[in-house]
Amino acid sequence: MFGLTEGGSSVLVRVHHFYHYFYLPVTDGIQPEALAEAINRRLWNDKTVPRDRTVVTNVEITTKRSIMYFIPGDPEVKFYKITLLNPRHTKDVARILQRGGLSVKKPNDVTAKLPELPTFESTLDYLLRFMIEVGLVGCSWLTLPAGKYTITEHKKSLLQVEIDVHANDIIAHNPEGKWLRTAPLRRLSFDIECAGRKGIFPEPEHDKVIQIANYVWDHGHKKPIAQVVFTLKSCAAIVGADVVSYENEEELLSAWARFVRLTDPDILTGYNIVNFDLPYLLDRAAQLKVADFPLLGRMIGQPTTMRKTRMSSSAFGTHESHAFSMHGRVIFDMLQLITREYKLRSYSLNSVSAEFLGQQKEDVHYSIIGDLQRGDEQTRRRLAVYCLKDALLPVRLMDKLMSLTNYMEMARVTGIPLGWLVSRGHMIKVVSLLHRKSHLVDLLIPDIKRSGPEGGGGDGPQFEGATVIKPEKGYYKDPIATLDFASLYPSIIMAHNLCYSTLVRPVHLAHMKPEDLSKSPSGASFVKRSVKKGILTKILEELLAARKQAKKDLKAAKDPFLQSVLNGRQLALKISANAVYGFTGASVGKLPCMDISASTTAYGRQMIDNTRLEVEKRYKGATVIYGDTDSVMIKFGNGKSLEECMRLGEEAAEAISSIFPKPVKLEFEKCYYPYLLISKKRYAGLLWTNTEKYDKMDCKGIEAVRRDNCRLVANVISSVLEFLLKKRDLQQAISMVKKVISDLLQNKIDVSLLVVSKSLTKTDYENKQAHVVLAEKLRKRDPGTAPAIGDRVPYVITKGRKNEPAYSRAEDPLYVLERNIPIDNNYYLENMLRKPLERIFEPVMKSSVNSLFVGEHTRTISVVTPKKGGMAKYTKVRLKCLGCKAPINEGALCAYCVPKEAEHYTKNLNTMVKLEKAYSSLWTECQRCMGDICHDVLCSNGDCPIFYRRRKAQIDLNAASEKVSRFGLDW
Amino acid sequence: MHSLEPTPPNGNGQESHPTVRVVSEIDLSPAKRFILPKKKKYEPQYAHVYFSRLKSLTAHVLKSAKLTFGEGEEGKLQYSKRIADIASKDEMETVVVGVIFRHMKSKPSILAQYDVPSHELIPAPPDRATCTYPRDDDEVFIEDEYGRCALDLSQLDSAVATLSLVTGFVLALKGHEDRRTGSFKVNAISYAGQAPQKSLPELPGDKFICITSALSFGKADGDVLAAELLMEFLRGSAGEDPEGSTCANIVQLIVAGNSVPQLEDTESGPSAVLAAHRPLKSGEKERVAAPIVEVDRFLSVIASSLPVAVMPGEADPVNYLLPQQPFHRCLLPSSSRNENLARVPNPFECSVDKRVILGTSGQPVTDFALYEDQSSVMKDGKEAGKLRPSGEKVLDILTLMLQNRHLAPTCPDTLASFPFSDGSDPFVLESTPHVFFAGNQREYASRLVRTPHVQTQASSGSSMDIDGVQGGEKTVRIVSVPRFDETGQVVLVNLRTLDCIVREFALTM
Repeated sequence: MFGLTEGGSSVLVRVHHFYHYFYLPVTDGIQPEALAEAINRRLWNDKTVPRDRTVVTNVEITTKRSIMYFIPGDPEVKFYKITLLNPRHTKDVARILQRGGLSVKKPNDVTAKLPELPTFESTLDYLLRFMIEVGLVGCSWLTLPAGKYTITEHKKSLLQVEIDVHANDIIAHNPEGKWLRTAPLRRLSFDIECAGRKGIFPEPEHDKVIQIANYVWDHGHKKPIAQVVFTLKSCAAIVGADVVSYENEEELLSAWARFVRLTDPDILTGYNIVNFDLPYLLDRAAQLKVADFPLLGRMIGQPTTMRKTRMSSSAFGTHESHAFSMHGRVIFDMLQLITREYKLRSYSLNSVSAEFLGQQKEDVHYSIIGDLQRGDEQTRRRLAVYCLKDALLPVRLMDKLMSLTNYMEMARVTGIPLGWLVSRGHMIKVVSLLHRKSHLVDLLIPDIKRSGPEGGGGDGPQFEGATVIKPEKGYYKDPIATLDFASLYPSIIMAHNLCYSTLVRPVHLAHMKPEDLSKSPSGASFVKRSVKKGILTKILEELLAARKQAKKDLKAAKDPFLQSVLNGRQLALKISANAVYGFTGASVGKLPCMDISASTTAYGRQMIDNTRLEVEKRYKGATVIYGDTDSVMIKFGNGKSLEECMRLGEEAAEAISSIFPKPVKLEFEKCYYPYLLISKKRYAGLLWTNTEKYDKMDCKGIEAVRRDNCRLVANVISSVLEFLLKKRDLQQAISMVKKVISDLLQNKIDVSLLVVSKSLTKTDYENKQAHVVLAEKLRKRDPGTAPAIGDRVPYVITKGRKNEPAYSRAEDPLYVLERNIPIDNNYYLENMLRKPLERIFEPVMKSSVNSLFVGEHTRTISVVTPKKGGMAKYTKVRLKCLGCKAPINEGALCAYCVPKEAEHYTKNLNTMVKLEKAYSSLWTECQRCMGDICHDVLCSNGDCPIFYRRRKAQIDLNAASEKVSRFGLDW
Repeated sequence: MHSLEPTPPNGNGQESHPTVRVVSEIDLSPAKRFILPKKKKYEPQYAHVYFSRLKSLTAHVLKSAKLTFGEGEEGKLQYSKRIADIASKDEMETVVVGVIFRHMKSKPSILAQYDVPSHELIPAPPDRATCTYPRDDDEVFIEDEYGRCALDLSQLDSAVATLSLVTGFVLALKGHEDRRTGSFKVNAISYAGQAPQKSLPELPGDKFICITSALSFGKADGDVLAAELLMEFLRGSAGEDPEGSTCANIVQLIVAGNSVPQLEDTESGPSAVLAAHRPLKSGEKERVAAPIVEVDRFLSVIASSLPVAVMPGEADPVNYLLPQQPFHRCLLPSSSRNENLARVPNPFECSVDKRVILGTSGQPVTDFALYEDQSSVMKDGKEAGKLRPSGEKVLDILTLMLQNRHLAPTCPDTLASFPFSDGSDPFVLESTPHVFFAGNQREYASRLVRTPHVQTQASSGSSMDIDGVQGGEKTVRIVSVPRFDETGQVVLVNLRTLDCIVREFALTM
């Protein structure tokens, strides 16, 4: 066990005399000793272990029950408890027994062949077994009583103290009261830079690692302990940071590994380190044969290894990833964490920090990195500053999002080690909870043969989730009250005592008293709570009670750090409670039980339906306009005030709760007023929890967050919602849309709003896709700066030739800006704007939606003449009068417009003044963001909202200034 | 077209003068450095501005720092060539030279505009600040081309720190690096000191220049008669001045910006969503055009009897980025024909009888004042939301600008400026003027700044000035020129004595 004392000293505790075990149902007549001997012999014969080694050290008979099924009378069952010397052989031993055919001597010397037998709890991790037995949960404190341990002189690890102790002497503490505090875990956040060749994303076989920036920062401390950057070749000093430079790369890598061992962090963090930085470093070190590099773990002489994994989880999806064995350190990749927990437009470090830290970040394109490296110590310093920032941001994100605190609390609540939370799915949490609880009441959990992919779980066929009451689409100007079932699934499980251990098999139904049973709407039968309380019910009750307590403590807590811990705890408890239902439903999980999950959702559906009936029965004129998984939306009638609806909602929640079994509870939380219901899972409304002021505008399933849309769509949609919901002004919303459409057709929309960006994953796409075709085009144009695999390719759709498919008309936005290439406005109107707008306006305007897209405002269309290419080659640009566009030879105006010179001048000047303001605010902003005022901005962060705009401002201002100067300057 | 050559001493005064006017030798050519090239490039980035500012000022700052702090001494005091180098030295007293940058979250920011709910698809650039910038989480840096360093100002008087350490000043700071925080603990500041000043030849008699600003012709609640009175005074038909400065002795009028009132931006607010992009209505056209006609008439009349230099200001129809270029001829068609009228840039510099006069239409001072906390600037009742410093504060700021040899330090960060790239920052003061003014201020204030002759410590015997050009003391009249539309006041500076008088034309009955 790796740990810290409260003072921050690192301790390795070596636990002795704890042996792994599992269970097997007793076969009559077979003695435990004979079974042990038979297994050991079989292992020797199979050459799994050498003959001098005993694997099974002990077999004894115990009395337990299986968690599966309620059997009339609830009889106890006898099991062999098979104890093994080395947990590594558990799988082999279990397999021998599962396959059957093991020859065992009976006491009467007759050799019997064992049939195929189900094993119990052999798949439980040794570590978890140990923690359960000792009563230890993740990230918690333990005491080793004085005199019960010995301190080792000959250390095998890098930790400050190494201790040997007997498993029975460990005293674990529940993380409560004075044990609520957390240890000051040391975090090392790092980022590497590689010198790529032109146009190719860096590959460890060829490209050097040139810089590694590091922040060492103890959790809960205000300032970092160290900021260090390792550079290849000299680098000018950076204030506040230590710069260490090396002439060759091998030394650099070796020095960094030494640095990791020296600072000895508990947690290694960064952004995308699992799939980029760490694999790159390990591969590169292998390439260069830096022998001591992989020694990154805390055990002396044990190198870090890496393997590719595919992790699939119903909650997180399937990902290709890497797994590392790095003893004693938890790899906490902020990218993985954020993709798991937040749904964002983009997961680049830029947009994530913009989202959570409220700051844009300078982005240096990797094609420039090589140039900076080849420059002098100043350009390398530039790079190092940038690299340091990339190492800092993950820690800042971790603190801002409370990630570590929340994960530590999750580890405590579910009782699993911190590292598992990062590397495994949701499933393991419930496994731990289930085993812990079962262990206490002598229930055993059967091993299920798994047929799915490796990993923490799988995505089984999700049941027909709770049916939704069909939405009555429309725009509701009356308040809509929303009743929610609080923790719906957990409370159903508790209310109906659904559990593995209460499920009755059909064969046994006849032997049961009907009053002891309840039958779920999906047809499964469970015994009532009065007969036997389910394990799941117990787990959930405890979780929810603990959550209540945590919330109470949170209110009373004064210290902000403690508050964050408690808040993390209550969140963890909530998430864990909700994970239970999913666990029973995951078909490739550890213990799926469709009867439980199907019953849960069936009860859920029934409850939503009953609620609807009840509401419409109790309240005249009330209709349920929509019902989702765990909530119903009620319109109490025309002309009801917000206040009245809130009162009625409150009353209804109370009244209807009483028709359901405890602890199911219907709660009134909010009103939507007004409410725009578009379709299933798509709606928007102003959310009110008091009658004074609305809390926020709540949008579900509406285009604003979709990643593959351009900003224009998101902005227009949010403006429309703003008008419809906040201003309740349909006419203004319509005119706003019309104006946008008219602007779009007249090329007045800023290009930055039209940029779409997609990630380039594989070049051999079967279907031609815009960004893939463009990437190819860019490679031909300049292989040095073309996007490589893994890059996001931003593009706009241009007019192109007649009948040219859209995918080949994608173009680099900067290229479009500089050459004034016409944009395909119609494409944006028809393929981007139209559908989302129709969806939003349909409930409001019904059939007249189409009027948005035809009419007066679509008549004026302006056409841009490109500066280069196409027909432009053959035309000669002639000056035009700035007043009437008549061709002229020089100056600004034709003879007829000269009398109005002042007017035309002012008009042109005003345009220029606006652009000047924009220009100056855009470029000073970038200069500020860069954190350096004496060097040019190099940033290529296409995710930043002003990235294209600042270039456009430059181009437009130059053009406007040229126009103004045509009026003649007389100084 | 007006010539930049010095006006011949006999002038172009027209025969119809009511009084015989004293004439002066007026040289407008120093203003040329504020004139932008014909072909303007808005390509280079703002970094060049800071870079060239550092290049022109570092040597001066270092020189004066050595006078203040003494030469470097082994083990005691060192001069760091680069800011980045302080990181590698022990905690020894160190002097660094660099440009100041104050990182303040309250500065107007276009990115912040993206978070403000709005009906515009793309947020407009932010307006001039309506609050001062300082907040508790501000950070101050000193930077040179090799790097920047955070400053720890705990050892400085906070008032001195906020007023002196303003973005864009090039300063020398003495202190040492705090290894724990990585910041530089400052214990003393040294300025470049005033630039050399041309000597002031004797003048036989009193001569005045008149400076006014914010005539705001066409302002809704404007006092039309006040401008008429001013006009008559300047033409000499208002009779003898009680204080003895006859209008006949006024040799030059400087109009320091804002001859027209600020146009309300018609394209903001929710209704503007629909109004944008349509052509100006006929009424709006007149609103734009009318005030300029009145300005033209006013200037024509004055110019017929007196040389006039008209500078643009924030509200005037010229470009927005500093330096603002002169009014276009077509906007002042009739007065432009008179050679007595000079359309000049903002900032503006000229010399009248060898007196160097330099000033701005006030933007650099107004913006500078926002770097101090709320208590030192006042909300202006008349122009809601605008913050303007008191007269005394304006003088303090002007003094600092002279000491730091820069007349618009906050350009380009919070004050929009042209992206200069030819290696020169025209706002750097190569020489110290005799009269230094800022127009469009809330109140009149004036001070005579005398800088005594400084003996160098190193060579105490020498009578050389630190700049090695002119010995002797420097004398500058600094003036906060009030808005005429609010105060009815104009300022008269006596070129012989550098004394200053204020005249009021408010029609108070």
